[in-house]
Amino acid sequence: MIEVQNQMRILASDLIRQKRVDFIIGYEQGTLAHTSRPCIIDVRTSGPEVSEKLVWNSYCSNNLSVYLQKFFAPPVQGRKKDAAPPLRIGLIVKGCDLRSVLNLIREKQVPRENLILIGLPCTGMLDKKKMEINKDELDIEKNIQDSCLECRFSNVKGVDFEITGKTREVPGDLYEVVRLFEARTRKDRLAYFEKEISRCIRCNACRQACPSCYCRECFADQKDMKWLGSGTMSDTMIYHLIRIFHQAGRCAECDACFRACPEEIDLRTFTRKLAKDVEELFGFVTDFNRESIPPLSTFSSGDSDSFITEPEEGG
Amino acid sequence: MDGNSMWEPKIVAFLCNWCSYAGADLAGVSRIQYGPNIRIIRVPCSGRINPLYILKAFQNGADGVLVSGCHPGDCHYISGNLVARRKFTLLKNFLVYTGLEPERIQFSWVSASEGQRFAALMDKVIADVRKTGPMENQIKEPRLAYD
Ligand code: SF4
Ligand code: SF4
Ligand code: FES
Repeated sequence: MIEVQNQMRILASDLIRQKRVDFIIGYEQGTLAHTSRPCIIDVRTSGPEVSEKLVWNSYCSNNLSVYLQKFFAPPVQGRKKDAAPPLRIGLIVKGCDLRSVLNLIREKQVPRENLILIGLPCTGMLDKKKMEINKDELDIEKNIQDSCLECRFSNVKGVDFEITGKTREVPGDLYEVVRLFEARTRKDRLAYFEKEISRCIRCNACRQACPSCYCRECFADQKDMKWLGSGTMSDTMIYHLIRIFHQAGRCAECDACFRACPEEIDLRTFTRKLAKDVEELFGFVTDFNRESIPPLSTFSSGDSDSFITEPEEGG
Repeated sequence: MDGNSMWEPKIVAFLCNWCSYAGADLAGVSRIQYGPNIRIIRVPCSGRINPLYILKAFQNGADGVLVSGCHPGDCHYISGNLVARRKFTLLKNFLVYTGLEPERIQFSWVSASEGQRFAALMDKVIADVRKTGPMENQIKEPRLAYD
């Protein structure tokens, strides 16, 4: 890891010296021990020595691509052509970050030519919540994030600078959590879903943390909120169903939403379901292929009709 | 219905303007009988339906939702129902996964000439929802104190 960190710093300082970037987004040491936090360095005003600030370790779990879209969003007021020329961003990416970046590129939110991607090999990130429970800092496998256990993209591809190193092995069962949940009874599933979201305080942190949630006007900010619910489905339930549904074919399984949630709500079980369905039904995975078409922006005449209701005695 | 014999299912049907709504019209004009539990909402195309509408219908007291459009290949806007089909497949799977009864959310294709099919479909959906019973109160809110 130290080796990777050194290489990353050298690369970053080269980029700054050659004036190829305006900003570098990476990780720095957090205020507490055993923490890292994202840092956005404006290198137009600093020398190459700032690259010494960058760190790389098992605490770098944040998905950095969440900051990207704001750099390239069209101006709220004024004409687009009067806006300042887009900035050039150097971004440190691991597997899940890169998948989110490619998602943003596919959805035309971020221009690829303005990015310089530095890909790092990832051996999995530590879960702070698990570490608190296990009190065993050193046992990596025991304290690793659940999302990393199911990750098959720790080895980044298609970046501008790739630092090679040890990565994770591809796990056997990618959707175990979904299969286990599907096997439960309907009442049981509903009870679990309700129990989880009953803790939700609607802080919207899960939406803010997610790199795919960039809409300026979100359905969740609609005016006719029914906070207490007058009918059979509460607004919180609808918020979760739709937020997660909007991730179909887009979620990078980075678990940023889960980490952001102050109530530790299990969002994974549900985001994974859509990933599984999209892969099984439409053969789409949010992988490192920049050219692939998002599954809900296209169709095939051979898509299954099996969910269609047929009246008994035909028409 | 466990002594609750007064209960009648309320079903919201989203029908596309060009086929299914015309199919419903034909059923009416031909005086084909079907249950009165359907509230029809006309939309331009099945591709126009946002999953949020479906959930809002449940929130506002529907016991079941039916979405119907033109048969694949017949959409007035050429591919609206093909795009919608992917969306609906995922949505139905997902709602069932989170614990909704599959009978409550149904999708179908009805063309403008299929008045008979429309009536039969309505009867089937009504019967399905009736069997499933009233939408249970899924609200466990507000949480008043930290437990
Ligand atoms: S839904 Fe959650 S896991 Fe998926 S991309 Fe967004 S933040 Fe990451
Ligand atoms: S972060 Fe957690 S508490 Fe906040 S809105 Fe999302 S699920 Fe609810
Ligand atoms: S117009 Fe009927 S489904 Fe598109």
